[in-house]
Amino acid sequence: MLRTRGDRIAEYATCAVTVLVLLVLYAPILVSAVFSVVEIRRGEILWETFTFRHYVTLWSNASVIDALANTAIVAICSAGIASILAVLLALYTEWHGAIARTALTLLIYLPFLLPPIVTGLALLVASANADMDRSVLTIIIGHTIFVLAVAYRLVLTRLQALPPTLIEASFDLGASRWQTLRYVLLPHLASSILTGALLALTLSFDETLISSFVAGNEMTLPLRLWAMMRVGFTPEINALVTLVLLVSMALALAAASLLRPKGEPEED
Amino acid sequence: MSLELRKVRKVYGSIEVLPSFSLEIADGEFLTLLGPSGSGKTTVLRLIGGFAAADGGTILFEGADITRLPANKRPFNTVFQDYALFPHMTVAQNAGYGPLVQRRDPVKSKKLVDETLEIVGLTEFRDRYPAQLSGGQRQRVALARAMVCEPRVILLDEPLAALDAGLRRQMQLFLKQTQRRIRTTFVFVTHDQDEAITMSDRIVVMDQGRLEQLGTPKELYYQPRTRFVAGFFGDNNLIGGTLSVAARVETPLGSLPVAAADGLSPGTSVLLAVRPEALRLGNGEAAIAADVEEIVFGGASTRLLLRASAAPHLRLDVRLASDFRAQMPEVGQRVTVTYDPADAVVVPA
Repeated sequence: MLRTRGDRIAEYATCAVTVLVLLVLYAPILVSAVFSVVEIRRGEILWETFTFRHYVTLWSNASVIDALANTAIVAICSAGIASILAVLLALYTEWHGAIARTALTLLIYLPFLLPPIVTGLALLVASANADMDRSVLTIIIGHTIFVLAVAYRLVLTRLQALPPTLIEASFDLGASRWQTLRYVLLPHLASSILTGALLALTLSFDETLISSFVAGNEMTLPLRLWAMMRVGFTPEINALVTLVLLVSMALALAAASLLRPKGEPEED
Repeated sequence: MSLELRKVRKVYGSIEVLPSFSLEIADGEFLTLLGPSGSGKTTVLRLIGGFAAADGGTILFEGADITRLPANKRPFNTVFQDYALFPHMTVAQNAGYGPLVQRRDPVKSKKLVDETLEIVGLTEFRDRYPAQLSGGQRQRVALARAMVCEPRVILLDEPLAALDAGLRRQMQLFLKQTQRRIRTTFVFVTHDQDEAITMSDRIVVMDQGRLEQLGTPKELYYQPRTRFVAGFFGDNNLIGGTLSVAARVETPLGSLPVAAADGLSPGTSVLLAVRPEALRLGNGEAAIAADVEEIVFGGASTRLLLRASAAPHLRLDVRLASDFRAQMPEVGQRVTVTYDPADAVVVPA
C-alpha cells in the first residue's frame, strides 16, 4: 500500500509519544539502576566510583538473603498452588453441570479486585481466628488467594477458546475422560498455565501490602526493602531494587513470549 | 442390516428436532443425509456418533442396542466439519491418537498409521503440525485419523464445507474412492445436492426432522415423491394443477399428460414436476406455448428461461444440449415446448 506524507507524520508522532511515555515510566527505575553502581554527588555522576560492590554487600547481608529465600519459596509455592487450583476451577466452572458458577467466579476474582489492604486485613483476622501463627505458610496462603484470579483468568480464556469438537474427537477416537485431560486438554492449556504461573510468580515476588499483614516475624524481599528504606536510602537498596526489577522483567518477558502464536499454514 | 435407527426422537429445549426418525443403513454403503440447515441431519449424525443422547427410540448396531453407549465405546469414528485436529500433535500423532488411547500394540499401530497416511497421500507431511497444512491436507488428516481406528462406520459431518469449489470436487472423488477401497460404511452429511448425487449409494432427504425420501441418487432425481424433494433436488419445473382421470393434470397451461400417478386419486391437488433437460422445443402430446425471456449459454448446455403464455406467473426452465450449428430461438420469440410423459412426475401439492 502507498504511504502518504500524512501517514508518515502520524507514524513519527506515535513513535515520539511512545518513547516519551516509556521514558517517563522507566527513567526513575533507570536512576535506581545507575545509583546501584555509581555515586552521585550534588547532581553530578562520579564515574570513577563505578563498582558492583553494593551487589556483593547485598549478597553477604544475611537478612536480605533470608528475605530472598522466603520470597522465592512463597512465590514458587503460591504460583504452583494457584496454577493447580486455576486449572481445576476453570474446568469446573466451564463444565455445563457446574453449581454456583457465578458465586464461585466472584469469589475467585474478589481478592484481586479488592484493595490489598482489605484482603490483607481479612486474611489477618481469619488467621487469628483460626489460631494460625503468622508464618511463611500464611504468606503463601495470602499470595495464593491474591494471584489465583490472574492464573484462573488466563486458563479460563484458553479453555473457552478450545473448540468443543476437539474433546468430542478425543472421545470419538476411544479416549476416556482422563486420557482426554492428559492428551488434549492439558497440552492445550499448557501455555496458559505456564503464563499464569509466571505472572503469579511476578505478582507474588513484588507483593508488599498483603505480606505486611500476614508475615508476622517473617520477611519477604519487598518487606525487607521497605524496612531498609526507613533507616536510610543506601546504594544496597538501589542494588536490591535493580535485582527485583530484573527478575520481574525476565518473568514478564518469558510470559509474553509464551503468548505468541506459532505456525504458518500451507496454500491449497 | 448394519445400523438401524428406530423411531428416534430428539428434543433441544422446547424444540423437537427429530419427532420420530427411522433409518436403516446397510453395511459398506455410502449413505448421505441431505437437507437444508435445521433439517436435523447433523442431529442424526450426532446421535449415531454418541455425542447427543436420544430422548426416545432405539439405535441398533448389528442387532445390539447402542442407544446409551458412550461415544468412546462405539465402533464408529467421525470426521468433523472443522476437522478437530489436535493442534499440538503432528500429522502422524493425530492419526495415531486412536490406537494410542485404545492401548493397541505400538508396532502394529505405527504400521497402520503409515499405511493410512499413504492411502490419503500424506506420508511426506507426517511430521508437520495442523497449522502448517492447507485445508485439503487437514481434511485428509481428519479422515486418516478416523480410518486408523478401523471403524465399522465413518461419520462425516459436512467435511467439505470449508473447501473451495475446485478442491471440493477433488475431495469428493477422493472420499468416494477411499470408501470403495476400505469398504467401510460412510454416513455423510451435506446440504449440497450435487455433492450428494456425486458421492452417494443412497441419499436420505430430510426436512424439519422428517425423512422425506430415501433412495438412490437416480431415484431421487427422476422420481421425487414429495413436493419438498421435487423442489429441493435439482431445478425441477413445478406446475400446480389437479389430477384428472386418464393420467392427466389440469393446469393453467392446459391439460398435461403424465405416465403414472401412483397412489394419487383423481381430483387431488398435485404438482407436476418436469426436469429442465426433459423439456425440448417442438410439439408433442404435451405442448406448452411460452415466450423466451432469457438465454444463458453455459458451455455444454444452454438454458432458456421461458414465461408461459397462458399463465404469465409461471416460469419454465429449459436446458438444451449446446449445438454450435443449431438455430436457437431469440429473446422475445414465442416457442412451443414439449416433454415425454414418462419424464414427468406428480407429487402431492
